[in-house]
Amino acid sequence: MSGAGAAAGGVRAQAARAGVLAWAAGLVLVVLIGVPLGGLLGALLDPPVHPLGTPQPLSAVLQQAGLGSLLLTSLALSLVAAVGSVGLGTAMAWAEARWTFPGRRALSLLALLPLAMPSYVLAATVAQALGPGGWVGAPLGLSRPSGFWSAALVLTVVSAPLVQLVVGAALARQSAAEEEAARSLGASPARVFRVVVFPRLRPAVGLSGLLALLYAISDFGAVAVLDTPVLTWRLYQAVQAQSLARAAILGFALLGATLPLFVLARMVRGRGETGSSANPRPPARRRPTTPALLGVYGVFGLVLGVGLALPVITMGAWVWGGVDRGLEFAAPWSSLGQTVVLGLGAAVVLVGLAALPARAAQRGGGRVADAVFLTSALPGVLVAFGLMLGALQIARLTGAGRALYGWLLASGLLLMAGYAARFLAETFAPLRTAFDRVDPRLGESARVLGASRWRWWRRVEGPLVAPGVAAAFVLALLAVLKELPVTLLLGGAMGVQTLAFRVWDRYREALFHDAGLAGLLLVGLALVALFGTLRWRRHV
Amino acid sequence: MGLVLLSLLALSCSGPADGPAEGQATSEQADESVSLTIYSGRSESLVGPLFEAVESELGFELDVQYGDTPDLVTRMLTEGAESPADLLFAQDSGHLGAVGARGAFETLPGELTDKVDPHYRDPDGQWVGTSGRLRVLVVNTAKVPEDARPTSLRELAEPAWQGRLGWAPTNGSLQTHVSALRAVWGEDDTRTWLQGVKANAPTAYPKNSPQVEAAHAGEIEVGWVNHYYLHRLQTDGYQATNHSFAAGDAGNLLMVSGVGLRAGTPHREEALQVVDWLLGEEAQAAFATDNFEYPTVPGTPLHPDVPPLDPTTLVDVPQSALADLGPSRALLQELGLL
Repeated sequence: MSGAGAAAGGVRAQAARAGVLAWAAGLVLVVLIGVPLGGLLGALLDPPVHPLGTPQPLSAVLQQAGLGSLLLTSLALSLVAAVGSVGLGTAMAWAEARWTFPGRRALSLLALLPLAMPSYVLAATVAQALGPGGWVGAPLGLSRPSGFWSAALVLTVVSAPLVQLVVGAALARQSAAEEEAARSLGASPARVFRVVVFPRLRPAVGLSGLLALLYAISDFGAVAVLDTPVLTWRLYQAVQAQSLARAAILGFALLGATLPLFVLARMVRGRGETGSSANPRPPARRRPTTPALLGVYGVFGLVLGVGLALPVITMGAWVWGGVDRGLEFAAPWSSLGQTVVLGLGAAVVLVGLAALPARAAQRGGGRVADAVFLTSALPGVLVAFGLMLGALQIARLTGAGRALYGWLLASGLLLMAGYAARFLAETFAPLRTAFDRVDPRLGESARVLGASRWRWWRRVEGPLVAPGVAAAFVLALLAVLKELPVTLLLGGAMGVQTLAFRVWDRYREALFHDAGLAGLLLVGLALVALFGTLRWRRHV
Repeated sequence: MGLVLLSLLALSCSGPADGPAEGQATSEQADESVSLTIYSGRSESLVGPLFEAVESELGFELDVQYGDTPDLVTRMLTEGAESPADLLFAQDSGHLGAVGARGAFETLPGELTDKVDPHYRDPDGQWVGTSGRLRVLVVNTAKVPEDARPTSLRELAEPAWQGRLGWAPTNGSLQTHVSALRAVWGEDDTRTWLQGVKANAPTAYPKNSPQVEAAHAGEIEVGWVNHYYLHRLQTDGYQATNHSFAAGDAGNLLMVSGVGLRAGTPHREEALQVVDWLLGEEAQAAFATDNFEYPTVPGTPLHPDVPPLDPTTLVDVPQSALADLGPSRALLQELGLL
């Protein structure tokens, strides 16, 4: 009797906690998404500043020549990049988790490094290396890469590791027992995959595919370098022409265009089955067939070749050129230190914030939690201006004006809000798939059996979610390391000059030796971060 | 985030009831060391060391926030009275002129602006030029021998240059140059010329800097850039050189970087001291020798690699014409270049 009463009480307490959690998650989302979107909406209704030159009625912006085709190119580019990175990333994650082949560990680790590469750096170094004057392009007689397919390749390679990481974390929690049971009941390998394995991977594949898509559609760097006209071009030009109202309209158009893609991603994701085994035993690794092995090496070769070898060797050549000519290198140490501190701090904040909607989703608030993806479709520069506008409106309303606005910037609150609006989704994705694996009924059982919350967390939930948390932390860290527009606009007041800032600052001044050094340090930092979390990400 | 809201509340309660005083609030921080905020469209690699020298010599703390000039202008104008910026240090005079035309700058005192060659400052004292970069062609020396180099910018629209050119249409310098062309050639000629260049299928670069290496490597034969990247990259046997056009040609434009005071800055006196320092001997020499630029204060020696500039060879265009950026952007957009 008393046992049943305690269980019912536990369920009630849990429901109350879930309610609080949903509210907390809701509040976080409202602030993080509401402030920038509200700021942009405000700019639409009452333009804060009129553009230089002849002002244009806003309705004309949407009817402007070529806007439709720019939007279509944006959508096509992001779909290609999403499908491409899901294909490559899932293949890499699968090979890492299930197969045994020479170089498996090293390749799997190195293949994650393109994540640390700002897309414009990757695009610029790839374009230079493959161009007619480049170390690959010159001997092969290639012409300078540009246009849709070049941009699609770069955006695919930059996002494939993200899929690899998220799907890999999901694979690390797969249980051999289920698959063995299915096979012992006579299911063919194909059927085992379809019925047992894939349903468990679907959420990770769907979420990471959506992330790759949003990254590509909001990207400005790669498309600018590779001369691929997409909507973000127009948007960025509007920002530069002091027409935030026009930029906001284009941003909302981008957002509207991505909404159907959210539905698509939801379909891929499925219902997200939760379930079972507290201590999954990973399936034994197999040796792949020769064609499969060649395929795997091909995939790793493409991602590592384009995403790592081309940029690293190109930047290495820049550095060597500087050494060779006796050029002065500016000491990068303060930038390095700042990048580490900012990255770690922001990653902790992001994981903490993203845990709220991820927890809420675990307990049935999935639709609310999906709102974290909303601001990810907006380019960083627009998110930054949106937050700035929102903060200005708040500051003016409270009457504290300049002081409050200055404090919001100088305290780093706006910077963190900017990172959150940009990267909450990619921090959320691995957390969500991790929490999905924890069946709430397990917790109830544990409590009925008298386990303390701490013991439950340490023995059951912690180990289950550890790979997801570690993946979320690394994704957040690498995203912040390479971020530029938000850091520039909202971090300037704190004197933030990260390595990504340094690459940009030096590259545009043709100080390639200094840019290369900062870029290589960025890659080194990412390697340390990925290596340092390896044990956790593999934690089973 | 709850913390943010709490802090917001706390601040809104403790904030001054009458709001911040506009303009001359200099006494606000009289006892503390003054901290100036500078929005700099010029790179940290170029001006960072200068601002460090300002800090040690003038005793102010400087908070320099870097970015692309157009972004910073958008930011400063959007922030309005709430802007933390005291000074705007812009990459090109087009943007300075545009900000000045809106009345968003304070007029600079004559004794300050008089230090600068009249060509390189605003006649109304809204901003003052600190250094200049010459718009040039960077040419591959092997593929384009001296007698084959164009004498006028107009020639780049001729079919002979098909597939040989590079440019950076999204770059601010190019857009400012288009403003100059519109003023000198007129709207129709400029449009026709741009269409002609576009028909020659130039390779589009995101910035000026990669074009110089591309010209050296033979990726392009000719790039439309600013002069100073070459001097930074040039080595023995470098396969690219700068080329200017015949005297007075619209291609020979000097692009001025400069500085203006945000209207309403509470630190007017200190900001003026910084401007004065930037026009001083040390800063002008640094622009010339460290950055290979043309100083705007007469009498400052050039870097030995940089050819002297004869002002009479430059295109005759008023600085105010460069500020008319909106229609230049619209034109580039209309032609599908932006």
